[in-house]
Amino acid sequence: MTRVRLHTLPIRVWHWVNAFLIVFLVLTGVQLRAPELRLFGNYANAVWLHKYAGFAATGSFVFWVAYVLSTGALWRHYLLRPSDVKRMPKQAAFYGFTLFRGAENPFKPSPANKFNAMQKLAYFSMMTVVTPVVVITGILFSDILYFHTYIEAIGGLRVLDAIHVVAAYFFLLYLLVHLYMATMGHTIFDHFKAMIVGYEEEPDVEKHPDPQ
Amino acid sequence: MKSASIYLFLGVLGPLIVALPLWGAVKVSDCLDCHGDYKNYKHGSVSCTDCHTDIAELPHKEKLKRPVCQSCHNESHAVFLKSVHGKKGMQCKDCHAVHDVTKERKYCASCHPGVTHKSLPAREKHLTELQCTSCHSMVSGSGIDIAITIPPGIKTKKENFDRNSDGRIDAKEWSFVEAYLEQNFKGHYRVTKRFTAKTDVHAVASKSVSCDQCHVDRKVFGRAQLVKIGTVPYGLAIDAALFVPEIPSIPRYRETIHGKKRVRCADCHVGQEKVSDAVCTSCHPELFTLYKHTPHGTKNAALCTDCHNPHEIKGYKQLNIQERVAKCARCHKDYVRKHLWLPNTALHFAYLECTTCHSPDSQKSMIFGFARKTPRGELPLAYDDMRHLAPAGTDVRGLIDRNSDNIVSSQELADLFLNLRQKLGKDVHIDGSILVTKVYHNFTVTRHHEKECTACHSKDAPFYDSMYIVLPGADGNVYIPAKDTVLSALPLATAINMTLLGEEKIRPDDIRKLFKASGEERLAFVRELGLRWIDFAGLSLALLLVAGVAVHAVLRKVTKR
Repeated sequence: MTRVRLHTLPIRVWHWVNAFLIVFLVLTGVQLRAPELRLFGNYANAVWLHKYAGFAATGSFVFWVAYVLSTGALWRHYLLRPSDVKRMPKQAAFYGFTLFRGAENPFKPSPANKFNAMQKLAYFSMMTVVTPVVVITGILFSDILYFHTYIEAIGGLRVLDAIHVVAAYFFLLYLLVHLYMATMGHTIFDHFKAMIVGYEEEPDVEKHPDPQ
Repeated sequence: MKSASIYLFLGVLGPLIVALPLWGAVKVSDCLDCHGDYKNYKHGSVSCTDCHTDIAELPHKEKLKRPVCQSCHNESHAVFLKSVHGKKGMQCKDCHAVHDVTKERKYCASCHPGVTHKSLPAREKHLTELQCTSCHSMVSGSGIDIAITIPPGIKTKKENFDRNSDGRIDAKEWSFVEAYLEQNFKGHYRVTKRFTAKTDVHAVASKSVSCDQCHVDRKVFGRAQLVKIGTVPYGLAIDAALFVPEIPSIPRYRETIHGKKRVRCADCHVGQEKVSDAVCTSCHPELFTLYKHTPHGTKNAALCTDCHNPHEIKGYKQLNIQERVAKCARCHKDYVRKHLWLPNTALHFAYLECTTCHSPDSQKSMIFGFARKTPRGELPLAYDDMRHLAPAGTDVRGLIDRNSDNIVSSQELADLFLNLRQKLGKDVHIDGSILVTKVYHNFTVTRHHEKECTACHSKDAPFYDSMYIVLPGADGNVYIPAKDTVLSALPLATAINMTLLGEEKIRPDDIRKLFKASGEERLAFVRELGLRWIDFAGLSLALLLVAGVAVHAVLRKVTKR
């Protein structure tokens, strides 16, 4: 077995903190959307918890931005290149069909290139579009009175609410896919383990060409 | 030689001849030799002999003519002669210290020390904040300067208060300013109101001006300005009506509900005493029977007239949220501080009145009305605006309830909204609030249930069963019942501050209805779903995704991948 180092310690810590915050935000958000479900006691509790978990998630996002910009990880791992676009059909075919026929994953992660084309598309759009939208609309919601001028410029509270909730549903959908895809390593828990210890173990018996 | 003589005459003797009278004139210093009491004499550049004109040499005659002030101050004197003081034969020196004009010899109170102004409403306020001449003389200019002191080092931003950036603080925005101050600097801030009036002390009349001048016509103190908050200069205009309340003149009394029902002044005003509850109960016994057993009544805390000003033009149903909250806030000044447990306190008070929670047995309704941005701030549409759509005398109900079924549908609201925008401009939008529409006269309930957010932020909120569209009619607001999905057919930004309540969230009933309905009914329901489509689409996609993932997982299991 060969150990392939994929995730640095700061990214692993960030990932699990962020994962906890997002799940927590989704659950408190569910109570805000369906007040009849008293998941966190009364509604005021859910509002309070959602608000401060949102602030923490904003901090977590700022950390991620600073980290991927300062280490160059954004360009190295997240940015979709033309070559990735060409590989995308093959990757999609693997997940949808060829996997069941016993085909090997056409992409092998390496420290220089961690994500396949579809992962890049998902992570990049989530982290550069959906997350900033949720963060910004959430900050505006945190003090409606203080940010009222900006809220009116956007079109009012109904518009702000609609944008925040649509982005939150994107998060929910992404979360479901992400959790399931995390089971698609060599074993079900391989990817989960990699995000804890930092490396994945590749079998030595077969040699795979570097996807780069 | 001849010309040399002329030049000598003009150059030397000429100036001497011109200066001769001055040479002989009596100097001020000469006067002060005898009249040392006047050594601090101050009257501009005027010398003693400018007024005492019959002094040509010293020593002067013992008996001198009385100086004539109007030889210089002819305009003021002409005004003075017509004034009550002038007519009574008073003279300039009775009030003015003519030898030191920087000091007044007498003020109003010097001669009128015991003026009680017993019949003046809000007597203390008027007497401390205004000059006597503000009411007893002509006013040529006036204004109210508002300055707010807050703890040092804190800087506020203009745009946080002038929320619509129109350079003016309207009533709604001022309520935010007050709430902000209460929330952040309770007990450590001060709002100073300086009423300045440019008046003419010479034009004092025997009778004061009418109250209408300030309180109805707003010819005086019709302009106000927020000068600064802390050290930050603002220079923003404020609606002066916030500081000078409206009271009706006798002609306008006829417009009040009491005036319309021909209640005479003497029916309530017995002598000079304040109108007691007994006077009101003589006509409204049933309300008082309930009210007198509530804490307000038993503690004698608030008389009927403390909340219901019988002189007000507007009936209670015509009052907006701010006006209703202001009724309670007259006594419960710390209402914001006491509600800091409530998230977005100020925002709640902008859209809820106190009785929404503190009188649970009152009927609450969700009220939607049309408003627009004007130079005077955000104002609800007036009856005149409606007349752009229909001739005078038309019942405004017909403008919206086209099918006369006495309920407004989302389509009917959308039609009128678009029509108004076409006629009045794009500033027209829909404003909303939660109002008590049927009052139960016990306002002192503090039940735990009302502290639960879900009392309002859920599908069970009582006001969803009672929604109204309010239109300005010829005789005041007209309330027309509306369907609970009334906002759904309108563009998102038409009701900028209405959200977060249950009507925007999908309910199991909605999904059932969607699948059970058929044909036209389903189409109508689909249109009325409005923003609830977000939940419908989101949840449907999530379910599809879970199903897809489950199928994929099963296939993996089957193929052992």
